[in-house]
Amino acid sequence: MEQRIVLYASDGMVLTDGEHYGKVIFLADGVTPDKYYEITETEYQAILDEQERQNNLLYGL
Amino acid sequence: MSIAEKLQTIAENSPKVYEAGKAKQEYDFWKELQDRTENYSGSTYLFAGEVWIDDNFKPVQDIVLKGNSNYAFSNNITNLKRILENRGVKLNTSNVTSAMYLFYYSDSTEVPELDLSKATTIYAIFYQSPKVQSVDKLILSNKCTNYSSAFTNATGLTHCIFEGEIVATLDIHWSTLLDKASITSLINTLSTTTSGLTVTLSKTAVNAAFETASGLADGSTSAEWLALAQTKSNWTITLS
Repeated sequence: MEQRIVLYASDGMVLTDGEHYGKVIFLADGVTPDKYYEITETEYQAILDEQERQNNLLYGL
Repeated sequence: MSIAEKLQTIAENSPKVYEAGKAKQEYDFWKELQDRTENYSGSTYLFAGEVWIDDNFKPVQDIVLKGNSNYAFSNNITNLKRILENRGVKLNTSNVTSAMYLFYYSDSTEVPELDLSKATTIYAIFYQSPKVQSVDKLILSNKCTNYSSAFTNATGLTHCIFEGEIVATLDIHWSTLLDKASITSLINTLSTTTSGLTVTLSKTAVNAAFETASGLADGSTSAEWLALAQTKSNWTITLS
């Protein structure tokens, strides 16, 4: 069985490919880790806050 | 019986007659409402709005949603499942084709089974619904290709059994209390034939659900979880 690549974010960091975010990422078969990079948890929270702000604008909240 | 006795009997029965009349009027209203709306091709906004609360939600026959059913239950009912059970009626969603915002900002702690096997989208279905704690079953099919914002801020969700086939990227990381049965069913429902897709779960939920001993919160590294994740190696599984 092909070994599945699992990425683990460093302490205080979050992994992302620019679209998905996580602390632990089980890559699908054939996906390489190249497109993933780390951002800080603070940066991640800022992204989540901005997404929520955009959603609130979208939904007229 | 004397006139006085008759008048006494009438007075004693008057409240019962009043209540019976009120109940009949209520029944007639709901029968008419439901019969008429069942003839529509869609159920958009059917029971949407703050006006709908437990006290006035009194269906008298099965509720049949169909077609475009966006926002249909975006309301202040606090336990849809219990109310339907108490009234002996069911919710039929098997002919819903769009379930966008279906339980948007819902106050319902318990939601009955939702057969959305004909739905092409469940966009924002539980968006901003932290009060929703359980969904008996969510049946999806490969017709559904839009899961965006489906569980955004569904922070109270502890139980939601998935069934059918999931064929699009799904993010449920806000549901940090999701139980083991729900997570297992979600993974099992991921399509085996797609590629390039991602499912994002809460690491907290996985750690708790699959922990190897009470309190260890080590589920994401457990053999059981790793074996489950491996069953869908065509998916990128992200724990957030």
